Amino acid sequence: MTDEQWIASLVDAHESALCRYARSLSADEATALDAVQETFLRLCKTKRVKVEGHEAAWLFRVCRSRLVDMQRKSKPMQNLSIKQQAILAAPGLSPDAVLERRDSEGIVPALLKDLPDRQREAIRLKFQQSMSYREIADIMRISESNVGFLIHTGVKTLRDQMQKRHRHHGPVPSPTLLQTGKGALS
Amino acid sequence: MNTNDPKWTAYLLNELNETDRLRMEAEIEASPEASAFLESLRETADQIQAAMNAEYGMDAENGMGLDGDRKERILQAAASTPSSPFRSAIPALALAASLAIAAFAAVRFFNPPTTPSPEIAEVDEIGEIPEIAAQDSQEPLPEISQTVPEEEHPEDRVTEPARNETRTIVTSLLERGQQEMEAGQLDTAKQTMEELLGHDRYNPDALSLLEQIAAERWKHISVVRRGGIRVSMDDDESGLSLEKNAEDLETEPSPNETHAIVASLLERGQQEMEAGQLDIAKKTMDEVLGHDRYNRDALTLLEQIAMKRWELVRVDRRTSVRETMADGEKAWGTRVVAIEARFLELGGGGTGGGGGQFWSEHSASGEERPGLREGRVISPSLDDFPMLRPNTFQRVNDHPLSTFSIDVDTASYSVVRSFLNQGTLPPRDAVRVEEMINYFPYDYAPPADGTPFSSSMEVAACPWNANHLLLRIGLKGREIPMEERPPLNLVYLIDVSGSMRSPNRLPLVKRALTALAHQLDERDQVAIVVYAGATGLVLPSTSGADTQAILDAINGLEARGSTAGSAGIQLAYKTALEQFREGEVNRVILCTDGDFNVGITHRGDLERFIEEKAESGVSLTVLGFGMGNIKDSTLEILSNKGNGNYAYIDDFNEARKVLVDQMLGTLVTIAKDVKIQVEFNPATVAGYRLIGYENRILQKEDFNNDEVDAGDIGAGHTVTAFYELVPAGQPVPDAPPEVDPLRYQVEPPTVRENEEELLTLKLRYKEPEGDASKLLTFPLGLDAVPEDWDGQHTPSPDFQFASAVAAYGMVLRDPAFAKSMPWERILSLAESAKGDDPHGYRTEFIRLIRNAMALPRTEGE
Repeated sequence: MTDEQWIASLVDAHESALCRYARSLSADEATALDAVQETFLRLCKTKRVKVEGHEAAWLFRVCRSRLVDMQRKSKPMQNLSIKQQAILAAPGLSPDAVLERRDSEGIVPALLKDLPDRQREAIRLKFQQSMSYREIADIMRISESNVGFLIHTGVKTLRDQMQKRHRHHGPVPSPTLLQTGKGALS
Repeated sequence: MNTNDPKWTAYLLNELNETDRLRMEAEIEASPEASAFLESLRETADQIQAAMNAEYGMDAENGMGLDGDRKERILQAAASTPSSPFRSAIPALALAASLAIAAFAAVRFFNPPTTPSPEIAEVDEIGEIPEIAAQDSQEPLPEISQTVPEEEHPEDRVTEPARNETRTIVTSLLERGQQEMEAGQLDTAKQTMEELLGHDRYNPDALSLLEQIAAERWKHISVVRRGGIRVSMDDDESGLSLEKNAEDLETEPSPNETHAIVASLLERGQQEMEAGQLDIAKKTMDEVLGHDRYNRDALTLLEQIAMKRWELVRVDRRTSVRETMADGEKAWGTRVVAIEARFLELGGGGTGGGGGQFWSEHSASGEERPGLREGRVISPSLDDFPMLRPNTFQRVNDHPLSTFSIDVDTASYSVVRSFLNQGTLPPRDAVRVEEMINYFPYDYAPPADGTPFSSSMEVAACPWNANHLLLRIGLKGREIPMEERPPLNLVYLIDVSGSMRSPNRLPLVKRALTALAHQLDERDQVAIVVYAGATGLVLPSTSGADTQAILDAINGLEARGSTAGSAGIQLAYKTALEQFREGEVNRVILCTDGDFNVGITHRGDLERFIEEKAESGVSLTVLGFGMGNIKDSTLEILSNKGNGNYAYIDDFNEARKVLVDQMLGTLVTIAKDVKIQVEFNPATVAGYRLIGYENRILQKEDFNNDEVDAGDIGAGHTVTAFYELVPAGQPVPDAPPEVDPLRYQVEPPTVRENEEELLTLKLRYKEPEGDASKLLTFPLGLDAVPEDWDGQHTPSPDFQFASAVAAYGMVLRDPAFAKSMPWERILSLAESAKGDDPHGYRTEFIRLIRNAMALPRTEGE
């Protein structure tokens, strides 16, 4: 495989995951896409041996630090809270629309959206990218034990909320549940 | 069962090490409750996985990736990439193999490692598993995944930290951590702080909070231990369970190998610590720091080692008092390694003042600071109290001149006091003997003539060496009656960062400034500047008579945000210059716990800035609050640079002393750049040593050089210095060996035979507004030595008391000194000289002697 093919294959394999990841961290779509683009341009300039064997971790780390860097440059005085950023990141969604989305997508994605950003970020990297705690720690620049803490707290919050719902409303049918072939909640 | 413990999910995701996993399985086996909880977590995890897979599939389907333009540019760039010899093709077979394994990896984590995974096929159908897997070919191959964190891309790290994004996160984490700590949730608070350090790894607030957490924990442990229960010091540091890679130790590590080495060293160190081999474990950690000097796990472990050592020390105390002190100091040293590292980060190569000499010796000015790598960080008994070498005896023949700057700071005494009040001996370098002596006012005669201060000398037998004399030099600044005082134009610069929240910080600042506000009147002006994440003028220049407005502004202060000291200082000086009035007092009063954010201004720049502003006539008073006693040297240096003084306010009494009882001494300078030079007469004095003032020593040439800065003296201030004198004819103890006779130089015929005089005291000072110094000269005749000085003579009470304080400081600095001057004698000397003691300062000192005496004996019980 030539370098060109190698890069193309990485673009194909990772672009959509990176885009979603970048959008979840960024206040606006264009910045997110720019960051992803820059990440891949950077890849073109980086020696292949430095990346090979841990491509995903490399891409996510570079993407994250690009994004953070770009946000700093473009809005030096902006001090948005995480929450504000999250709101900005999902413009135009009225409460109704949110409910609608919950209905259509199942309860878990909606609950995931309510998690603190960093918990969600860690969970996304773990579950969507199958990364190890250590890789996530490396990408998010926190300690491994902290990654464990974020993920556990997120998972447990979800569990508690689903149990609460279950108690109040009975089991909620979820497309994802059916797909995994798992039974209803205990 | 603690369901908040991350180990549950870690187990589920196969992230536990072998030991923890087995322990976990035993627990699940034993407890139906645990098993049920785990089952519910697993179901949640399954659903998250499914949702994530669905999301991913949807994105891919909807073309949520890059748009055509962007993609095109990447592919163009890829095509134009020149072929590099470093690039190697992946064998297609290996790629295919890793894809297959990765497909398995994508699902295996929501199954416990011990059970097979029947769901593979099903999951495979829903999500876009092959794609996911392709991104992640390293996951299932442990030896590759191990290499992931090794690779360091310095160019990637450059972009960190992103201050704007992280500042808000940092602030909120800090607040949360503090709340958690206050609620007693130490583990949670620690995790929060670790998360914060992930954003800003030298965040001073976080480090200081971690310190507090450690202190809390230590307190807790010592309480528990007294009940005979052993508490595991080691909390859930799962980060330490890393693979061992011993063979790498032999070779010179490339950056890529460092991580593996560090991992294995960490594991070894932890085992050693668990086995009680503290010294060995410490060495191992030192080695880690040699590879990765700010490695957090290593620093944590060192902290744990230090705490363990303390435990042992406490037990041993009963048997060996001296050993105890030495070890305690070591423990202190290691406990603050993190802080020390931060100090170095601050730009340790400061100039002048307390730390200057030391740091410039040990740290290169460049980025790398090679000395640090060689193990500077690991040195014990060092922290933000830079090392002071006690003055040694000098032979008068070799060094007839002794020159130093006065020091009217008192901070060291209150720092020492706060340590002792917490039941701990202070680290020796926190003890600056001259500041302890000068904490107390003495009853010296005020100046009669037009000079701003008087000077007096007294000679008596040295309490700790009957063969030596002790000379006391006392200066007394002119008293100014309150009604004649000059108007005060003050700017309070107040640190309102999150770390200031605890009761002995911002709340105490408010009380102190409230007390000061009541002293002000229509002659004065006050402005208030705060700094934290943001800087602001809380109170524009306001008449001192408008007490209510000042109090409202003070009461409205709230602690929040992180510290950015430099912007605040700039605004404060700007405000001070705006309300500047010639011939009056123009002063910035900085209230802080000393944590300056270093991201914005290099400490050297900060010092230069303050020095420059000092020339414009604005002086600086630094009030340190509840620092966890850490930023001592920074504050002292800043106050020196800013033509000012430095006091450490540990309680309201101290605030009242500094800002009310001695307000004019603190705020009104009556003479500046006061230097002392003593010329000894070799005919009568063989040798001498100056007690204290170690970081105030000047070159003999500096005395007549008006460019060289020195300490200022305030209205009514007293300054006291002691010399221990060796009378002529006696050997000079521990003096450096004599140098060989010179071969080419003619020995100066010198030694004017004058057996009538001991020495000559010379003083230089400048008027507060002046630039040229004035010289005062006072010879001291032999008749100043009392006839029966080695017999029944009793010196003045002030002399006795001050010499007791000096001895006290010297014993705290060097426990061996107690051989010459036992605690009991210090105590009786102080008690006999207590006098009237209108403010109770001396009574408190006597209590502190008793505290220090009691410490080594009672601790272990």
